Formats: sequence, structure tokens, C-alpha cells
Amino acid sequence: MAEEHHDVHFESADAGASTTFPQQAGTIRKNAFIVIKGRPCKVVDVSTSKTGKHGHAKCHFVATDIFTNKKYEDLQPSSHNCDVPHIHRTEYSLLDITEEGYVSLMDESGNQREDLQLPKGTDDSDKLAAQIKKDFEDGKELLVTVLKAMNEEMINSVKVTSAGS
Amino acid sequence: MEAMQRAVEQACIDFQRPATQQQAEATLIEFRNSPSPIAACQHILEHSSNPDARFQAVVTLREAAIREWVLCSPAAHRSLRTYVLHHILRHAGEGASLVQKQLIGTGNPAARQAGIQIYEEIVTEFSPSTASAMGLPWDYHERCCASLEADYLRSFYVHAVNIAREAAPAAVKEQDGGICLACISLMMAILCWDFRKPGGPLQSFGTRRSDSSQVRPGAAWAELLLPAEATQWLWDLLAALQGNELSPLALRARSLTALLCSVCGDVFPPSNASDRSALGLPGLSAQDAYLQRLLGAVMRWISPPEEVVHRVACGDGAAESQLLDACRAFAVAAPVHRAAGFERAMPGDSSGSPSGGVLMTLARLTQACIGAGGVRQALDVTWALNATDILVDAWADLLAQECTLRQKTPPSATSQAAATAVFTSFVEAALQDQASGALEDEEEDEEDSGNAEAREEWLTRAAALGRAAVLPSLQLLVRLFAERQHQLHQCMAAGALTRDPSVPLEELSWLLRMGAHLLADPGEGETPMVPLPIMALVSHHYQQPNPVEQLSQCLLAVAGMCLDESARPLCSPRLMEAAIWAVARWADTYLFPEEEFNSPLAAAFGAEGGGLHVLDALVKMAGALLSHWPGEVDLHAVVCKRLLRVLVHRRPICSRLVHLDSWQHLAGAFAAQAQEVRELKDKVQRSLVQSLCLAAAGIPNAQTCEQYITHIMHSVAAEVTALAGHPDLPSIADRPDVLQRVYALLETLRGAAQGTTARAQPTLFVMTASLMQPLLLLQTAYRRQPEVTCLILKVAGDVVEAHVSYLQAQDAQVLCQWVLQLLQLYSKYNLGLISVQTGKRLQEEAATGAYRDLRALLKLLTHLTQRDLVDFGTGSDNGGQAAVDVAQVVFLGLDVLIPLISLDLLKFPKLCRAYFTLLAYMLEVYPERVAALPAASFSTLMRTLEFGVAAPEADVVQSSLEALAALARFHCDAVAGGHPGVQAQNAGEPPVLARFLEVVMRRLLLEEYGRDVVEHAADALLPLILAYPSAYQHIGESLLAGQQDANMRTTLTRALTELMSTNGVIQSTDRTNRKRFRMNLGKFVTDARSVVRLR
Repeated sequence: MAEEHHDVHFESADAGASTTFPQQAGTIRKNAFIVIKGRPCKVVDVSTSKTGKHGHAKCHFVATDIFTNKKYEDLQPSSHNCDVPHIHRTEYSLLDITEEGYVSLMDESGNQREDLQLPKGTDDSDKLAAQIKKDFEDGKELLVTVLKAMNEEMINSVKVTSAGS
Repeated sequence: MEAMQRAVEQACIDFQRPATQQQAEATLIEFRNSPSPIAACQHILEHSSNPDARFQAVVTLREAAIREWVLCSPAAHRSLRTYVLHHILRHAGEGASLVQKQLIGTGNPAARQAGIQIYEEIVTEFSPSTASAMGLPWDYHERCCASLEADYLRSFYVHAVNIAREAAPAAVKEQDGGICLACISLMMAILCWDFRKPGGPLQSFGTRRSDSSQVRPGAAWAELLLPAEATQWLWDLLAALQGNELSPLALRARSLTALLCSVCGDVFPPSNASDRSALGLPGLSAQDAYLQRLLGAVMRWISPPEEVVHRVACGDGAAESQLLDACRAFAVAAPVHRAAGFERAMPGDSSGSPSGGVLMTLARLTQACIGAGGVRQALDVTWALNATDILVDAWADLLAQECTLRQKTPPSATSQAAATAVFTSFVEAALQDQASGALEDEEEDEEDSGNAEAREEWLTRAAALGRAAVLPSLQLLVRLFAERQHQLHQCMAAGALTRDPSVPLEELSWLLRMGAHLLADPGEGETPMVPLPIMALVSHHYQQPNPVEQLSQCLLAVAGMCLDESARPLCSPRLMEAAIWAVARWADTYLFPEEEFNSPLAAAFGAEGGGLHVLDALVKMAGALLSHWPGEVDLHAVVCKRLLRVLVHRRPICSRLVHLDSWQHLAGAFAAQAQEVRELKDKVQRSLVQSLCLAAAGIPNAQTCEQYITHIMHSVAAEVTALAGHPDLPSIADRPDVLQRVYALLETLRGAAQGTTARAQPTLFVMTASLMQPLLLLQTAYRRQPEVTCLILKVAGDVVEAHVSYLQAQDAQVLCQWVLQLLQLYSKYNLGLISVQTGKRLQEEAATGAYRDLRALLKLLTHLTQRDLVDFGTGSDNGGQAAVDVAQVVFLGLDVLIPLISLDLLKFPKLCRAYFTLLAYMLEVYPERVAALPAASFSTLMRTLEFGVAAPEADVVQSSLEALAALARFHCDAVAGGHPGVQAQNAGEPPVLARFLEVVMRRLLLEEYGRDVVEHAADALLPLILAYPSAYQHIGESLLAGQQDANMRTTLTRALTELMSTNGVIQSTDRTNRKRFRMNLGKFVTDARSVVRLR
């Protein structure tokens, strides 16, 4: 029985195409991800409550949109399934930054893409963008992580791989 | 000067005459406000014969001193102080008669009141902990304090009592000018004095000798406090103040009474018959007679209890104040005198009539307060809640002795009757409270754990009451259980709910907790004993049915409802949580008891009796609750963390457990990773597998044990391997369903490690070893998921802890190698990452992330160092080959760790403790490798060490000092042997290590004092002094430079010299010399602190 389970779970071919997966509300932890009102969010707080003292447990989620940082809340019975977004993180070497804020990136296997912009829209994103620009201008070699969820993408973090000249 | 003197004298004379008064006044005011008049004042004081002029000079001096204090140099402060003191001493005789008359004589009331207040100030000022800062050495304060207590304090008290007694009649009419009130305040200040224990240490440097709030005067105070006339005036005063209970005088007088109630210790002479007759108190000891008088006074405030409580409930402020004061007085007297003392002091008549005895009155008072809402949080009647709270505390103290000590005599009939009455009202009121709150929503938040603790505390105190009269209490609960269970079943008809069961559910939940508290004590890892009162009942109560067994069956019956499918709609998660919590607590004590009862309990719950049946039922309940209550995380946690943990805690239970079909079923469901197991929260799964593994201790046969463990773990192991080897791992790793499985699998591995016992260890290690490679692959795949990374570190920490001390050299190699690889991966992927997390909240999150990782790392490394101990023990040598040794791994770990650590992070106490423990170990065993650390790491390390030495937590200080001592000794020995030691790291002036000399000295001499600090500091200080004699010299000089007083200088110089010269201390760091130095340092610190510490 056990073998069946993980075969089913890890090798179902079309599951990879799905952008969300169901998960029992009671098992979603703080700092995990959840879909609320169609937006991919990061859970910043979970608390449980009951309907009346002797009802069933419910989970109260407070979460922030991972792209816009907007705050959402949701209440679900803890045995029900919630949608959880599939978060992809990909690392790219930063090759160039254009005047318009577009970046040129290369992944591990050498594929290049130039369709992403520096992060923007929130204070934190602007700070990160400034940091990336500064480090890039200082000649440091940078590795950026791109976060992708529910068909949206954004540069989320940067790591210095060599201090540059 | 002369001119100034003449001018002032003239002005004083002119001031007497109305004609020149104005002119003179102006002159005097000008003199008072003139800048720097101190020298002139001194001149006038020395030379003028006019008392008025001298008076003006003193006043001016006082004002100027205050006005210009901050502007003056410390030398000026000292000379002024010296001058004033000398002047007072020289002229003490002259004004004495006048002053005395002012203070105690028949002068006007305001002056007398002020005089008494001065005494109070003196008492405050002479107690080192409340003295104001005067910049004098502690030694001076201590000597003042000792002298006051020995020579003056008692006469102050006698004096205060005399004046108060005299002033009391006038005080009632408010015509004493506040003298009586001042006296009472003075008495209270004196009673609050921190009395010295006879023969106690003289110098304690400002720490209180006794922590308790009890008043502990010595035997010398007996004649002042115990005789009837010492307090009679107070009772008369209180009686006369009737109708005026809220006046400040009445409030103070009642506070004084309460303070007198807490008097305890040597003041009471040992009671024997001859003493009693000598005191003219046949049959009553001095202590009992004293208590009798106090209780008599206090009882007057609350008689009759019901009426007083009624008046309070109607808003009578005077009655409320008296009631609360009475409760406080009872509560402070309770731990001193106990129920037996109360009863001796005020016995009831044998008929037990309501008027008899202080205990019955106290019971009636408690009942009345409970009746007024004292346990009903919902009603929010503050005074009743407070009063009940204090009274229940008092009861717990009154009955404590009866409950905890194995006494030949059971509690007296009166205290039993009182306890029964109070316990009954308590239970009934609590049930009402539960019923009224049953329909409210429950919100769980941070306060909740605090609330739960407060509730436990309440129940523990209530249980103490119940146990004082154990038979009626048990019978009461059994009866209530039957009633409420009946009511609950009434809510259902034909398998469906017909009525809201919330009220009986809530009441039953409370009864379950109360019942478990009454029957059993918390185990907390130990095997708790059957509480003594219950033991006594079981061995004496032969009639059937036995109430202990009955109540036990009640708990089991409610928990067992979850096995009855038709009753399941009634089993709310909350009820089941309470039920499982209760049966777990019960089972820890009563199921297969260690000491076989020669009683009905053995038949019901023993190994040979019905125990097996109960055990089977408990396991079935666990299974049912885990599978049929999906998503109820709290309930599952109670099942796994409480109930199952209790069942696998003792071997006799384990050995039967593993053969039960119900257990096999549970293990089978886990082994197959059945759907209901997968749906449990990951941490619950960890705790489940931990219990399953721990149960292996009950399997005697090694082969069967291996089969059992393999059965439980094989599919988890297979799944981890399959996942790590999955060809698309990088692309599926982030998928939520996969991620959730990874969490669950890793938590399961942690659980298995935490559940490792000697018998199962070989099997578990084989399994773990087969997963090492897969875990490294997962570490790589999840490098961008900090939570998974951290969890893998935690797995490693648990695995190392579980196995490290069992392993043979070869396996230890495997383990070390693995940890090394894990750390290399961790450092490769986790250093130098800057991310979007710049917002404040996100930054905090990053800090907690770093904290979490660091703790996991520290645990891992610390556990790994245990291996060193094993290797030393067996003397195994695998050095020389290409082996990975523990030190190598740990130093790689430190390389990773040190850049991450910051002084901010060290403010987390757990992390701080773990870090310094590891540091102490590493420095002690491998100082040469620490000395060779890269400069940046070394200086971080030194900074953290400095932080540690100055930390407030004793264990952190100890570890830091041990670490420092090891490093200093290494350096000292190395230098002596002609090696560089830590010279390379030690550049700069003063050298890094030498700076620690000052850090340690400061710690010893100026900061809060702990005896054990000296011991540890000695080991660090000796090598430092030896290595840096000039730095030591420098510190000595700077200490001396701060001392003006010649005597102090001499003391300090002697202390500094003796530290390194007496007692045969030589220039060496060997063991005997360290021991001698330690003794020297103890003396040095005592001497030097008394001079250097100022207040």
C-alpha cells in the first residue's frame, strides 16, 4: 500500500502542470504558502479556534501576497482542503541590467532570458532593486533567485558569488 | 570672613526688632543665596557665639550644598561631608537635650511626628538594599546595618509602641497630629527589616538574606512581640476606629496586624510545658497564644462571614477593605501555623456548631466569597475573585502539611469538615462557571497557554483541599460524573443530537481535569507516586465499591466514549482532549503501578488484574481519535504527546503493549503510511513514531525487536530514498504536495531518532545510515528552502544525539563524514545571501530564521562532541589515517556558525546557553585550534566571550569563564614553553586577552555577586595575571587611585598583594596552585568589594 502511495504522489505526469495543490488546512504551517482569493500568499500567522467551545477546529490564516505584499485573511475548517500554490524558485546569473530596468539572466544550463524586470512596486522590492543595481555596478558577480507562482514571476533575492574587482 | 560673620550676626539681632526686621531679612536672604557661601558658613559655625547666626549658617550651608552639589568636585564633596560629620560629633553634646526633646519629648505634635518619621527614615537608610546612594563602600553600609539591628532596632520598636499606645486615644479623635500613624509606619518598617540569621555571614553585599516576605526576627524579639500587652493597644485602637474603617489610620493598623500575622521563626520559644506555665498560659504555647490574639482581632473584621460578604456585595467599601485585609492576614499566617496551629489557637466546640472554631469560620468565609462569584471568571466580581484567590492559597498552606507529610494522624475532624465544605462549594461554583461559559466561542491566542497554566495552578490548589478530606471529595466527584454523563446522553436520541450538549460537555471537561488532579500528581518524566491521602484511603477503605476505583472508572468511561460509534456525535474534540489528558495523568500513576497495592486497585489496574484490559482500551482510544477526528491537531497532540508517551514510559507497560493487537494495528497503520496517518500534522507524526519506537524497549528478543523497527520504518525509508533518487527531483521538489511529504518524512526521521533506545539502536542506525546519501541529495535539492534545510540539520542533530555514544569507531566515522558533508553543503548554500527581506517584519523573520538554524547547528555540534568523550573512554585511536575526526567537523561547524552569530542573537537565552556550552568545551579540549582560527573569527569569538562573561545568567557566565580559563591557561603555558600561544591573534595594545583581566575583575568587584562566579573566575584570572603581570599592576593602580581614604587604601593594597603572595601561591597554573589561588581570590573579592563597591 505504501509503495502505491508515493508512486502516485511523485510521478503523476500532469501534476507538474498544475499551479496549485490541495492540502488539509490543519497541516498548513506558519511561513508556508496558501491561495487566498486567488492570490498566492505566504502565511504570517495561523491560529485555531472552535465554533462554540465544543465545535470542530478551524484555522484562521493571516497571509501576505508574495508579489504585492498585500494582506489577506481566511477562515477554514481544519479538516478541509485549501489550495496551496506551487512556488518555483530558479537561480540565474545576472548578465546585464538595461536602462529600462530589464535584466538579462542565464540559468545553470546556459539558457538566457531577458523578459524580467528588476523588482518594483513595494518598498522592499525597490530596496532590493537598488541593492542589485549597486552590486552589479560594483562589478560583483550576482546570482538572483526568481520566484514564480501561479504564472507570475519576480526576482526575490540576490546572492553575491564573488566580491568583484 | 569676619565681615560676613559680623553682618550675619547683626542681621540676626536686627531680625528680632520689628523696626529693622525687613532690612535684616533682606540681608539674610542675600546671604542664603550668595554663591559659594560654604566657607563663610563654616567660619560662622566655628567662631560665632550667637546661636541664631549659627542656625542661619547651617541652613545656608544646607541649601548651598544641595544647590551647588553637582558643581563641586568629588574632593569638595568629601571635605564637606567630613566637615559636617566632625562638626556634629564635636557639638553633639550641646544640642542633644534639645534635639531629644524635639524627637521624643513632649514637644508639639508636628515635631514629634517628624521625629518618628526620622526614625523610619533611619531604618530605611540603614538597610543596605534601600539605602540611598551616598558613594560609600558597601562595607560601611553593612557595618551600619549590623550595628543598627544589634543595638537600636529593638529600642526603636519599644519606643514606637509606647508612643503609639499613648497617642492612640487622641488618634481616634484625629487629635494626635498624625503621631500614631507615624508610629505604626515605623513599626512596619522595622518589621520589614531584613533580619540577620544568628551566625549568618556578615557581608553579603546588598543581597537580601531571606527571599521570603515573612517576618523573621530573632529570639531576642520575643519579649517585644509576644506578650499580650504588646498588641492590646492595637486591638483597642481598631475597636475604637469602628465606623471609620477607611481612615488611613485604620488601614495602616490593619496592615500592621497582617504583618504581625506573618511573624515566624526563632521568635517563638520552643514550646514545652514548663515554658507555658512560666508564661501563665497552661495548655497553650506562646506561639499559639500569640496566634490566638491575632486571629481574635482579625476575626472581628469578618464576623459573621455571610453578613460581611453580603455587605461587600452591596458595595460597602469599608467591609470590602476589612474583608480583603482579613484574607491577607489569614494567608500569611497559614504557612507559619498550619491548620493544627489555627485549631489549637481557636478550637471549635466538639459539636461543630457554626460558631465554633477559626477553621469553620474561615470555611464559611470562603464559601461566602465563592458564592459571591469567587470562582466565576464570567461574572467578573473583582473583590470576590481576589478574596477567593487569597483564601484558596491560605487553605493550600493550611492543609499542606497534612497532605504532603506521611503523618501518623490524619487531618483533624474539624479541618476535614472545613475542607469538605470548601471543596464542595468550590466544585459546584466552578461547574456553574463552566456551564455559563459553555456557549461562548473559544479563541486561542498567546494568552491561552498562560490561562491554561493558571487553570492548572487553580486545580492543583483545589486538589490539595479535596485531598484533605479525600473520601467525601471522591464521592462528590463520582456523583457529579454520573449526573453529568446522564445529562449528556439525554441530549441524544436515536443516534442524533436532539439538544445542544455544550453545557454537560463543558462541565464534564472540567470534572475530568479536576478528577485527574485529585487522583494523581503530574509525572514530569518521573513515575509519580499515589498521593499519600489516597494511599491511606485505599489501604483503610475496604468496603466496596472503592471510591478511588470508582472515580478512575469515571475518567476511563468518558474517554472510552470515543470507541462507541453511536456516542461519537457527543464526543466533542474539546471533551476528548480533556479526557485523554486526564486518563494519561491517571495512567502514569495507577496503571501497572510500580509498588503493587495490596488492595482493590491491584485487581482493577494491576498487571495481574484488569490492567491489561484498560491498556488495550487506551490504545484503541488513541487509534480511534487519530483516525476519526481529522484535522483536530490539538487533540492529536494530546493523544501522542501525553497518552502514548505515558504508555511507553515504563518498561512493564511496554512489554505488554507491544503484544496487544490494538498496538500492532496502530504500528501497522503507521508502517503502511495509511491515509489517516499522512493527514496528521507533521509534528504529531513525529511524536507518534517516537512512541512507537520507544515501545521497542518492551521487546526482549533482539531479532523480534529488529523486525518490529524495520516494520515500522521500512516504507518511510523507502519513500525518502525514492524521492531523493527521483529523476525530476529539482522540478518537483518545490511542489506543495511533495514539500508536505518531505516535512512529514523528515519529522518522522526525527521522531525515530528521538525514540531510540539501546535495544533498537543498531537497527535504527542501519536504517539511518542507508538514508544519509539520500538526505544529502535532499539538502542540495532544497537549498533554497531554508525551512527544509534547517529541518535536515535538526534531523542530523537528533541522529547524532541518539547514536553517537553507542557507535563503534567505524560507524562513528560514517556519521562524522556525513555531518561534515552536510555542513559543507550548508555553508556553500547559506552564506552571503541578501534577499528582499529588508522590511522590518521580514527582517525579524530572517533573524528568527538565523536563530533557528544556529540552534540546530549548535545542537548538532554539541551532540557530536559527546563522541570525544566516548573515544577518550575507550582509548580508540584512529588518528593518523585519513579519518575525519570530531574536532575537524566541529571546527568546520564553528566556521559556519561564527559569522552568523551576533550579539543580538545571543540575547536569545537558549541559543546563548548552547553557544557558550559548546565554546567552553571546544576551548578546553582544542585551545590550539581556536588560537589558530582566522583573525576575523577569533575576534568575533572574543567579543562573544566578553559578552558571556558580563551576562546575567549564571550558567552562561560559568561557561564563558571556563572557556576563557582554558584559553588563558593554554596561552600562559605556551608562552612559558617558548611558543607563541595566541600571540598571533593578540596584537594591539592592550592585547586582547589582557583586556579580559579587566573584564573579569569588573565582574567580580563591581557587579552582582555570586559565590560560584568566584570559583570559575579564579581559573581564568590566574593564568591571565601570570601572562600579563603589567596589566594586573595597572588594574591595581587604577583601583587604588579611586580611593581617598587611607584605611581603605591600606585594605585594598593588602588585598591586592595578598592575592598573589599568601597561601603559597606560585607562578604556575598547575592544579594545586589553582586551588590555592581560588581560596585567595575568595578572600580578595570579599575584602576588595567591601571597599570598591559604592552606594
